[in-house]
Amino acid sequence: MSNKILEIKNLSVQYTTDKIVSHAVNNIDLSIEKGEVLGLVGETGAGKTTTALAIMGLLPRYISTVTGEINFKGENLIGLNEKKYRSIRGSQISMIFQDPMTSLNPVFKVGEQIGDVIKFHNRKLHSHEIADKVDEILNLVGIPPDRKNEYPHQFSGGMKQRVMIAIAIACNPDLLIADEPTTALDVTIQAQVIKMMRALQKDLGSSVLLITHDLGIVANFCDKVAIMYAGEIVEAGTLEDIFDKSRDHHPYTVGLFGSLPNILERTDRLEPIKGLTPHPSELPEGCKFHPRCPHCMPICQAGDNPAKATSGTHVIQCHLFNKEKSL
Amino acid sequence: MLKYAIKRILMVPILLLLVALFIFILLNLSEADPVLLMLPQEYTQADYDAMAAKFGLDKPLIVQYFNWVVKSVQGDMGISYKTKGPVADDVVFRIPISLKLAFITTLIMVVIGIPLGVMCAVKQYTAFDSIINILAKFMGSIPGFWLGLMLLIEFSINRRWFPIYGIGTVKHWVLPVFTLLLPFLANYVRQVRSAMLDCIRQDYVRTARSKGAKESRVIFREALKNALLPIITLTGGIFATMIGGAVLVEKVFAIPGVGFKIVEAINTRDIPTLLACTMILAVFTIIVQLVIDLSYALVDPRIRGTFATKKKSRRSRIKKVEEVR
Amino acid sequence: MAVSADASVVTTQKKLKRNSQSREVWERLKSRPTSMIALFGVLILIFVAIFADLLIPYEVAIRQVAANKLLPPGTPGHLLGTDHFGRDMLARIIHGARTALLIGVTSAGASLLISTILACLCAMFGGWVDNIIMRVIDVISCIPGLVVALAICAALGNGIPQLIVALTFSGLPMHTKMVRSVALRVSQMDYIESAVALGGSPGYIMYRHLFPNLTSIMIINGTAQVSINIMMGATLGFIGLGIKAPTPEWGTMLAEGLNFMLRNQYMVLIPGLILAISALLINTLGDSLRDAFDPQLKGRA
Repeated sequence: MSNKILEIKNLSVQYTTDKIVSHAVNNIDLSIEKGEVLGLVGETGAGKTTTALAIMGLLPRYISTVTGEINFKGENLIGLNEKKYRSIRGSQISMIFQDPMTSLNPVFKVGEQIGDVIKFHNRKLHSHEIADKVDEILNLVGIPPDRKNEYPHQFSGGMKQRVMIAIAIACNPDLLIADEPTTALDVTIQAQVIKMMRALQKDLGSSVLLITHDLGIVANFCDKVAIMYAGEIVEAGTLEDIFDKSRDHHPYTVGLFGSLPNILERTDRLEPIKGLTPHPSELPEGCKFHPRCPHCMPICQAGDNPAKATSGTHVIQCHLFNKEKSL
Repeated sequence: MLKYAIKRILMVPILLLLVALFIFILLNLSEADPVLLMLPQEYTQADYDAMAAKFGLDKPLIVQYFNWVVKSVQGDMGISYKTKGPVADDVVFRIPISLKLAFITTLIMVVIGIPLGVMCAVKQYTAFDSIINILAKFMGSIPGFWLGLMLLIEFSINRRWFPIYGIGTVKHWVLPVFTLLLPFLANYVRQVRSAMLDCIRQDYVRTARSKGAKESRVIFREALKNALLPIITLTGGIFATMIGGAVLVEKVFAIPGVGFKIVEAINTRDIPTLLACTMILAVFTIIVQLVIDLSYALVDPRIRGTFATKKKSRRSRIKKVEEVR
Repeated sequence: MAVSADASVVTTQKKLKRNSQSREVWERLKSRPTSMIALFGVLILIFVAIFADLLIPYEVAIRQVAANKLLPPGTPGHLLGTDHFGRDMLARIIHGARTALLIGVTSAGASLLISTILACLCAMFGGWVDNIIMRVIDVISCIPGLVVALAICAALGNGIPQLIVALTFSGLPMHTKMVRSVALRVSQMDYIESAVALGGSPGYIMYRHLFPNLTSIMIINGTAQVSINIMMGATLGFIGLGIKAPTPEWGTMLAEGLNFMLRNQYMVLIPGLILAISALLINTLGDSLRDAFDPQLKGRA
């Protein structure tokens, strides 16, 4: 408990637009310990970004409802007043966004945008002290400090993401949320960025919530993994728990791994998961995955969610394992 | 950047020459013979020829055009068919009056319109936004000249709060400015709102919030600076339109501006005066456009960048596709 | 044989798609009460304009009865009163609607058609075609639209056709610029490039790919332009240009009322109010259409 930087309990987020309610996140539990990297994996639309924005307190105000608990260093962030939240954002929790092309403000110099976050949280610093700090951080992310007077459009995609990372780590946050930080980048640049983020994480000792759909990145970077489907966490555990094929897995996880090519085994055809992710406004009854599940049973099609089957650090939310393990 | 500015400034006289040619041809499409208009009922052929020669109307159109251009450059805008005096004398003193009307109105529009538009965007989906939107829609549909007349009837004739016509005191300006302002302001608020909405939805605004910036800073620094580009264009365009678009307001409130003179010149078929007035409006439009374009570069670093590199043309890209084939 | 069968499948699919798009637009339009009120109001306006003669004979609108001068609204037989010649105001308003719509719709339609063709030429051929067209447009747009219309009216004289020409012309620069920017964006889409790469002729590409993408902006702009042109037509009438004397027209009625403002303010009030209401209805319909065509743009001005 004491080491837990972030503990999410029973978090739900609903969007209401034009009288249609979308259940983007449904009763999820997550926890990250100090210095730990948690990978949140799932398809587009599974509710990963919504979870991240809920932690940041940046969900669109008029259309979203958040319930549950987000305990950050023992303090519940939900319902926190805006001023206090602001002092946490950027300094204790910070976020790297998906698309570096649009996430930097085109009309301000890069150095200014990094300096801003330092200034917001250290009001007493002199401008030259901030400038020194900016140089230092730029060095850290591998950008020559003399480029700080350039504008975002003069930077390549990978360099822009480095700037975003610089903004995120500028105040040494306890928790860093990285929302698909490499999706918008070329494959070679992806590797560079991930490598750099890993080194920085080790140096700074921050905890990281890494949102991705790339299992390769997860295997390289994460200590713990949570698999998200239709707003729920269907399986969670340590890296070994999830990646060890000999153990029990949620059918969705099996499906995810089945859609990856494997160079060690010869397969003629990849096995993708049948069907599509349900829209959050039209979630099915029972287990949310049952329409696509190859092991679907009558019990899966109605009633509440399956109970969670726990074995050590490994949690699976599926009827398949409940029968066996509840004994 | 400097090269671009110089190029733009050098374009101005060429553009003006073309505008003048356009108006010249347009006004001479009229079948009515201006010479006949100026002659008394009883006239001889000699009278006619003398009159035509006096105004240079006996020469071909293109020669008339060149004569006009050469003289205009020297400050001689020709002789009015109506007053028989130099056009310049009758027109030049009107310019500051029209400019003043347009300037005051634009200023008020910006001072009220930008905060209102920004507030609407920030408070999207709230009652405040809906009310302002509906009000703007109503205001935008009222014909300006009719609004002027109604105000004139109510506040100048019935209540005698304001003078009926003239430009002497501040009181004289209240109704004309208000009349000119309202329809433009309605449109302006809606456009500022949409420009702001565009920017508020951008990812970089979310980034700014994630950095822990205050909401006021997010709106007024991060978002508004990006929204300024369309707002500058809009403001400049409206200012230019107002200089000429005040025609009706000037007529209703009898303000002796350029627009007032245009209406008078049209009714009396006084082509030299009409030509001069139209050219004045064109000059202002071109200058405003120039200022807008140059100020773009000041606000947006990306545009500063594009001036340095030439845009790839469609044609060259098509060629590339063909090469690939 | 097989090819033609394929082609027919493609066309039916396309028809279905088009139908479903227009149905979607209609559904969205139907879902908002303001849109339906505006649509209903505009339909009434069109109805009145088309069947003006059945409602009140044209003769009533121009018949001068000296005994009935300047009657106030509510007088038996003259619901909206009479003007300074003793003409029935209601009849003049109704027949004025016909004039206004005739002018507004034809001029907006004409300027839209011409500007769309110009814009497509610009977008398709680029280079010097685009350059020449746009430079001419630049020159015209240096003069405020109203002043262009004024000058054309002054040159061509009074009359409905002349007024339509003037209004058509004054709307050209703005439309051409707007449609061109959309056409340029569309023409840079990959599917156009692939059509070019596959050897499609410019005419075919224009008809098959460019036009269908321009319909929504044409409908939206067209609606807005009708209201602008009705307003500008009335403005010109107010100045004394455009319409010949006995023809009932709102702007001219306003100008006539100006002389009798002190004795009968209704002569100024009524035509202006009708003008404002018509403009409001058409503008609201235009906004609703824009929202319905592109829900993404919803709420933008």
